[in-house]
Amino acid sequence: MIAEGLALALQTNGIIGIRGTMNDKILLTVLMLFLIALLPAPVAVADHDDGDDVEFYDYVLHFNQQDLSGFVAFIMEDESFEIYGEYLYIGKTVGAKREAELDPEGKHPYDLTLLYSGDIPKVLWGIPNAEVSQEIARWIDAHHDMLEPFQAFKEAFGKRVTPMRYRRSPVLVKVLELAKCGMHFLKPRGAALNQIIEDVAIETSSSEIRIVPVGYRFEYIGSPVVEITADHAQVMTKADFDKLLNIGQAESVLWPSSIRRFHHTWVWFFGAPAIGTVGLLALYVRTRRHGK
Amino acid sequence: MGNNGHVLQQALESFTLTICLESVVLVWLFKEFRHVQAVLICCLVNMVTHPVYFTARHHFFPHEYWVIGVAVLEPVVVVIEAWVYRVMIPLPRSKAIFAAVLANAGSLLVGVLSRVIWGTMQGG
Repeated sequence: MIAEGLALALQTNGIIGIRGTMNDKILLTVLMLFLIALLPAPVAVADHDDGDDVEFYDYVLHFNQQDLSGFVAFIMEDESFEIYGEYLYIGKTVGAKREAELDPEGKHPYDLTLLYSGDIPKVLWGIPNAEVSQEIARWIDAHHDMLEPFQAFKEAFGKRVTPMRYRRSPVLVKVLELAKCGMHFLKPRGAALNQIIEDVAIETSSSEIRIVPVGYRFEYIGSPVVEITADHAQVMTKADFDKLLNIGQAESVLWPSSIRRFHHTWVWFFGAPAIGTVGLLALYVRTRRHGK
Repeated sequence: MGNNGHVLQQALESFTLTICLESVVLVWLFKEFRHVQAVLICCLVNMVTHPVYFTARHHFFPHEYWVIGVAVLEPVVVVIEAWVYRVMIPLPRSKAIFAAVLANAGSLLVGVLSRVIWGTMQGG
């Protein structure tokens, strides 16, 4: 295929009458191939309602800072974890101790920001001890490429930390399930969601410390914040979400996955290189034909 | 943070800064060459490289890995831009590489400094 492309491009060079060095022809060939490669790109990135767009929104955990002296967190999925997983980036923070010193009364909530990319964490662990968590953070930085970091983590720190356990957010489970069905209120149609904030509390038992969702806030651009409790979220249906978020049926209708929609971002990310390539080609041809 | 509009805004700010700085470098370096054409070539080549560079860096080297992203991707951009300058202006190889390195290094330096200063102002 590459050979065919090269042959086609070189033939085209001849057709449009470019006379130049081999360097010129190679440049022109590469530019043309790049342009050809760009043509299917918009189709590849077109919207197909599979929930991928969730990555463009923030999901924020709000902790009561008084519960935290320090925090390090990572994602576990089926007894293994990836700090920077394929589907998820979690903002690792170790600044809680310093924050606490600046704000000893803990008036300001402490945020842990999770950026989602089409999936949600199965289990999130945190270590509520600033000194240990900073040590762990350094350890994680040094070992994040290990094949089985969780096992190594347990061996290195298992006896020194009390992990907090956070199970998947029930409201996000529903949001993403609905997204996979095509009903996607996260998308900027009818309502543009900026971020979801999950308020959490820390509960202790004899065996573990749990991070427990207590409520959710949906922050929309230019619209009032919508608040629901965690209990409410667990029993909500699609119709409930429609009503709660004030989205009419016409706007939350299922979109067939074959619908292709362009986002202005992709116009930039793919349109600009296309225009640039065409422009360079045109300038090149003009320069070769008419001189400087 | 994290939404589409924000990413696009970042990309456009960065692109504008890059164009301005690299154009100045090219015009300053090659006074004998037509300035309009130098700026035009600079704009066009950056339209090709910048969105791809920006997308690749944000996608493959997020957050604290950005330095690695710069180390991996910047040389690629420099090579492409040097090649275009060499063929289209045209310039000798050494001059083209020098121009591309200087332009991209300046752009990167100013970009990083502006982020640091802006971040400090926001934090303070």
